[in-house]
Amino acid sequence: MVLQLDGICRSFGGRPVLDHISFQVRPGRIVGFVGANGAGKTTTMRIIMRILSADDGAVTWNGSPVDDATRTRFGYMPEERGLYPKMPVVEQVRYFGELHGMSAAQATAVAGQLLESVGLAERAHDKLKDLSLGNQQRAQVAAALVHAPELLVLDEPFSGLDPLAVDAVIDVLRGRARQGVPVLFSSHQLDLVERLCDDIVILSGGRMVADGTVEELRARAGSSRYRLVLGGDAGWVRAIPQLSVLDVDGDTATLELPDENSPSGASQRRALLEQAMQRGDVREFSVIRTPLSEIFREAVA
Amino acid sequence: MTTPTNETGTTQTWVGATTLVARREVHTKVRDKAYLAGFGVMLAILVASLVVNAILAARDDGSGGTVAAVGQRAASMATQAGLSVQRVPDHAAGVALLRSDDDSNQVKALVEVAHGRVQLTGTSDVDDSVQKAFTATPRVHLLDPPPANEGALLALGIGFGVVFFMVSVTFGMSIAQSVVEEKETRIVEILVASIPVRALLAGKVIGNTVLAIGQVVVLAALAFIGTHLVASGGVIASLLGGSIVWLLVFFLLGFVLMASMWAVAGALAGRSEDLSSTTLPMQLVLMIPFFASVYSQKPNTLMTVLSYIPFSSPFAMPRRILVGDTAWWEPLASIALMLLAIALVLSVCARIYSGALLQTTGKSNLARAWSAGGDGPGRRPGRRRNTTGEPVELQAAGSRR
Repeated sequence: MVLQLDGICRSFGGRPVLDHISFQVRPGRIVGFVGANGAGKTTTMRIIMRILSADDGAVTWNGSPVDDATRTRFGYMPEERGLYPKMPVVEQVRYFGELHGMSAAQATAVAGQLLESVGLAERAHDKLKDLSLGNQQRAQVAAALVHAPELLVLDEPFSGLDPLAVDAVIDVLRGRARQGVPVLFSSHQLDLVERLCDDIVILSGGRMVADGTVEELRARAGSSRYRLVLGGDAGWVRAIPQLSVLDVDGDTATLELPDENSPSGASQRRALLEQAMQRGDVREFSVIRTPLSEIFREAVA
Repeated sequence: MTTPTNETGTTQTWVGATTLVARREVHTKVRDKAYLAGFGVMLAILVASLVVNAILAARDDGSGGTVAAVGQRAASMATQAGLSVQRVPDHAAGVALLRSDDDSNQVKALVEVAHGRVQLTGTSDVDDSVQKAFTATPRVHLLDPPPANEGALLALGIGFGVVFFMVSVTFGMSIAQSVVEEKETRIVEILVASIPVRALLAGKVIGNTVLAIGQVVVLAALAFIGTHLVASGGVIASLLGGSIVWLLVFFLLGFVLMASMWAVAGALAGRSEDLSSTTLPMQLVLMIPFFASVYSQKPNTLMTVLSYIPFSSPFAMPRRILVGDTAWWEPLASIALMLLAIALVLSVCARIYSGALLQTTGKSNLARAWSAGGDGPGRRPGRRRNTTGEPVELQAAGSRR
């Protein structure tokens, strides 16, 4: 149950949009696919779903190339989405279930359950066009999941969702991942990606610039930031040799120290803290977790 | 199917997918209020015209009238039927009475009984009121059958053409709209990842063909019942006779021939606003043969030629059949040509449809869609250098199965 992309290249009209993209989505892992607009996320997903072809490279599922039969077992949510505007929600979800070979009874049962789990049970018999955009999106998620896909490929599944809907969708995705389904999704909401993902793939201008767990990406940055809040003015820290001070604002200093796990980092931190305690009150001394947004900015810079 | 099963059961078969798509087309249409309203108006007009006809006919109709009868049995049956009877010694005398120019002659028909069945003989027509008077439908024999009613046949032929034209445009547009709706909403991306593109096309064609034929059958049945309730019914029924079967066959084939082209017109459009321009050729393909066959009123060479060209044969051949201008093999030959054309058009259209379906950047052009459609089946993904560079390639699912 592993999706593997190997050296995927693709260009449109001579303009390369994907340049040797290689990564893996392993069983039960939720992989966040991050990149600026036009970085190639949607193109990559379309290539995985064989809606577009790659100029070079291969997409394999459990070691064999993805073909038409394989892709019917994937669950896909396209970028610009829509279902049939005039069709009742539950019927659409059921329809997609049946198209994937489920019996009418089975598809009906699963459609009902899914709509309930994304919080749409009460609107199940309404026409899609009568739903708010957020609710249409929930329906779209249900449609992608109805046939119990072996792999999920979701293009921006959270865009336009309110926080409650986001939670509902996250629960559903986590549930699938727990069953061993690999999940690949793209998003611009980096806090969400950070919260939900096991692995992150960052694209920039059609190239992969980072790939790994959030911790690995952080560690790759090499150093950690600390916040020091004192009883009085913190300006004196600037005088400490070899200490990289990013910012001082009244009683608060933002510092960069070597990686928290490195020995030199530990001694530097102790020395700093001792000096601060000698000078007076220490109210806070804490690691600032580099937010993914920052890792992202640095990676694509 | 050799494809592996998934967690929820089996993968959908080609036939299964086609059936599902067709069923959805039908469901959607019969629940569409605008469509139902339109059909309702059509039915209302038909019923109204039948009622008006019936009222006018009833006004014309007097009592049964007088008939001549040969033999005791015929005379008593005619009397029982409420007709006034004038006994004549034999058939010849009855015919003479029928033909007599005497103004006072009220004899409308000659009644005889042969092999237990009533036979009516009339000059050029037997009054409906006389025919209806008998409980068992009598056999009718006319001495001077009127020449095939040319005006009525012309009207019938043109009427058929109009119905074919209207139903074709209605359901053709509905195919095109259904295709462009899926494009516009990008449902098509999910669909092509779920089922073969050609199953999607086949489902649309079949679904809308069922709807179109269903509508025609309802209209025809209503017209048929209606015309039997009014006096002139016998005339139309006798004019139509067996040609009704031919009409339906040509209707069916004509519709199927165009159906996949309507789907292509839909696939070439990027948004529903583009439909008016992408379906224009289709409307012309229908309109030109329609008017050509309307303007050539009498059987002539043009009509004969038109009756063999697949796009005009649904207009021209039924009209030739109606006026009895065809040898027995001619409709069959025309149908054979039609079937050939359908096979050709379907395969060409399936390819263009596949190619155009995922072109999402505005209106597509035929040539690009054609070459893109050819990439699908049998092509190894990721092993081809893209030369045109357009984002149009589709891994059409046609290669599956």
